Amino acid sequence: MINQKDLLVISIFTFITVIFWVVSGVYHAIVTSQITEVQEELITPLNPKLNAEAIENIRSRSNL
Amino acid sequence: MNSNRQLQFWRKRYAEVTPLLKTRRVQAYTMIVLSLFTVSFFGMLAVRPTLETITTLQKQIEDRTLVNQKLEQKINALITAQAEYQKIASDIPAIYNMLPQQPNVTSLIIKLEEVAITQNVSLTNLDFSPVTVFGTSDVAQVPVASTAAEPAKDILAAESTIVLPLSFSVTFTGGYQELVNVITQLTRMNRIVTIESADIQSADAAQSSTLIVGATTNAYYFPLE
Repeated sequence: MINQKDLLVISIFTFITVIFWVVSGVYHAIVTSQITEVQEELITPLNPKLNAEAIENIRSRSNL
Repeated sequence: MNSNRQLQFWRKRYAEVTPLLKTRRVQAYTMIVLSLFTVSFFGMLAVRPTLETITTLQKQIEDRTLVNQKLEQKINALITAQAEYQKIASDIPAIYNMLPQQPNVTSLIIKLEEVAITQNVSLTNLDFSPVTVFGTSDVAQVPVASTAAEPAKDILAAESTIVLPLSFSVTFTGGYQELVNVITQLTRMNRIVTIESADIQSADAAQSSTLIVGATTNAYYFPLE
């Protein structure tokens, strides 16, 4: 026969387990990125600056 | 008869339990246990999914805002790149001459001949290393490092910027000054050519003014696909 103390212990452990479950679920939701692989590729930075010195060098070359 | 027995049984049980429930200790335990079970039950079935949904949606908003900002930046960068490209549009053919997409061996030979004719020297030997004219090449790839290739590095993704070398050795015969001019002109052609090594020797003991220059050189090409 389960006495009152056993019931209390079971209820406390159940409560703690549920709290951990909730916290881990929330943490997982915070940590998991919602950015897809396609979006990752799309947002890759692009440097539009051309090397003016190299272009000048090309212009200065002979026509040979 | 049977129902009467059951009724009596439950009355007896009730009479046993009722005094127990009236004690403060049992009331306190019952209250705590039922409260904890209730909180656990609703925490598991109601609070957890709700909190997870809220957090996921907030994370989605944050990430999508970030993606939106980065895409805006990229759009601006593309507009700038388009403007930069328009500025150098007239130089594009020169750039493709400098670093063609194919080995273009024939045009390179013509250029070398023109250099020789212009400087009044003889092109006596020309030897190309094996080159893949069609299909995929297994030639060692040269990472982009030179100044001339930097614009391509900026515009294209880093992993696609690989320049392939086209090795060849060339021998010119002529006077000293003409050969010096040839070597200088080789490095000033409208195609990138680098000289790895060059040796100079007399063509004939009697004709000391005629010299032979042998140069091991590399031209480059840049396959975009």
